[in-house]
Amino acid sequence: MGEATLGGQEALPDREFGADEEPAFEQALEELAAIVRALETGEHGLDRSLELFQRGVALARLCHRRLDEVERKIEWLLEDEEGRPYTEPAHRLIEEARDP
Amino acid sequence: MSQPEMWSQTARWPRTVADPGRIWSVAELTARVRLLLEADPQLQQVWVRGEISNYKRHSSGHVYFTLKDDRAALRCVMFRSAARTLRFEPGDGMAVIAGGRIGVYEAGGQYQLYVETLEPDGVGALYLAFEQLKERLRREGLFDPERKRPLPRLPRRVGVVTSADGAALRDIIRVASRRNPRLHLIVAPVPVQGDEAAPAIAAAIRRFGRFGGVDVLIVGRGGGSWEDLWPFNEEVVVRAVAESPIPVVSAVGHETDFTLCDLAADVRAPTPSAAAELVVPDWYELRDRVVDLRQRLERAMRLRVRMARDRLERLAGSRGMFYPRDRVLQHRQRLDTLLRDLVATARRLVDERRQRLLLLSGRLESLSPLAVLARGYSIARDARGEVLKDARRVTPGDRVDVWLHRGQLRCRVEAVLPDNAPISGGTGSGPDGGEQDDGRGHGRSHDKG
Repeated sequence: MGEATLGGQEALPDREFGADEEPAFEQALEELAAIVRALETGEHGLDRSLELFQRGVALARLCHRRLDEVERKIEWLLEDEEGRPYTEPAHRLIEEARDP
Repeated sequence: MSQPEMWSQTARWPRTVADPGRIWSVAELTARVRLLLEADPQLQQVWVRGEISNYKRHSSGHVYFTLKDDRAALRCVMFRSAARTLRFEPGDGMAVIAGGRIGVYEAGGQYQLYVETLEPDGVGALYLAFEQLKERLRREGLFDPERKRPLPRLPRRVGVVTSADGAALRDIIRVASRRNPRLHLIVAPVPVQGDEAAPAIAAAIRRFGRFGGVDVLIVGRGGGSWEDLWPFNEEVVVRAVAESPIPVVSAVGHETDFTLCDLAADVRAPTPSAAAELVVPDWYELRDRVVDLRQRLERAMRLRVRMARDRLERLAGSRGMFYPRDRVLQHRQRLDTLLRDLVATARRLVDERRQRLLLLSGRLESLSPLAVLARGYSIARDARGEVLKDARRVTPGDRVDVWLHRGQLRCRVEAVLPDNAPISGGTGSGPDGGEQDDGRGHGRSHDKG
């Protein structure tokens, strides 16, 4: 596997969320769970339920995207002469991880 | 020489000793004393137990104090280079064992112990240092629970500060790979024991802070002796952990090992493997959870819509006013009532009309000119076909058609008599009014007849 992607391209950005308002994964998951509970108790009117449903679909999509967006990589974090951090692939660790 | 000195020398210290030839300078004498003391190998590597008093750390970094017991005192000095290695902060009243050499401070005329190492008497220095630093940093608030930050549920990148060759890193990679097939791991390799370890670890933590590309940091090493783990108790490391802008999971040694790094970190993991478990979420579990929530979401919405439809159906049968459709139904019901009323009314009206029609047509029957003719009346018309009601409309010689009950007569007028004097022969003028004539006309003609 190494640095190769595991069959996932970086997902196209969802249009449901602007760059500023896109929630973190855990927030998205929590909100989604809350929406599901609210819908399951049936406490809202039909219009509100539809709104919640649409929001929930957007959140679920976001969660899926987040789960798939990262590629497997192992890198070293090093520092140049001026103390600037940089990374380079940790080939040895990748090899080791391949054959435990 | 001045007068008083002359006096004092002669009066108080007369040179009456046997050999006045050698007169020492202070420096010479002090140097001699120093030479004697420093020539004694026993005094050049000495351990002495005592209690600290007059402890003073000079701004230069040198440390001065006096060691005492119940009968004597010994002046001590610890130069900056030696004082830097102190792993605890000495203080007055502290029982210690000092190691060093006896020397003479010539300018002060003092012999003293030049301290190379200082250990607390009774407890280990490391332990004491640990307790002291812990107390100091605790008072500073570095370990406060409210400083602790939650770990991200799904970190995109995980940073690790540990030895490149240690078991800790292998454990972390193994556990993390098992839990998340898409993990991005970034490792800052550092020595984890020895003198250079602490500064290197602190620097690596700060490097991650500047780099900023990771969501969480694991700082640690595998098991070892108390001394091996010591760098993780060093102030530089503890401060770097506390000041890290990235949440830190501390994973030093085994379950039973507790370091100050653990206390300053946002989360303490008992081992590096456990740190990986904590930090790297089970990707498959999260994915299943999202899938489950999504399915429940859709199911709940379908159910919600079905509920709404059912409710609507129920309401359609009642007089509820909740939805427009119910209102329509209500209207329709009223309309139905109105329609029913309307039909009844119309039928009544029609019935009335029909009855009136029957009545009228009966009367009409009696009004028919033909019926009148049957009773012996006749209708006279002029040549143009107009009904004649006035004799003066014709002149003798005009042709007149007379309608009888049966048949017509084509007649020629012989005379015109304007008044209704009886005419012999009994042929009267017909009743005025034709088919269109109304009852009144009929009545009049009737009267005439």
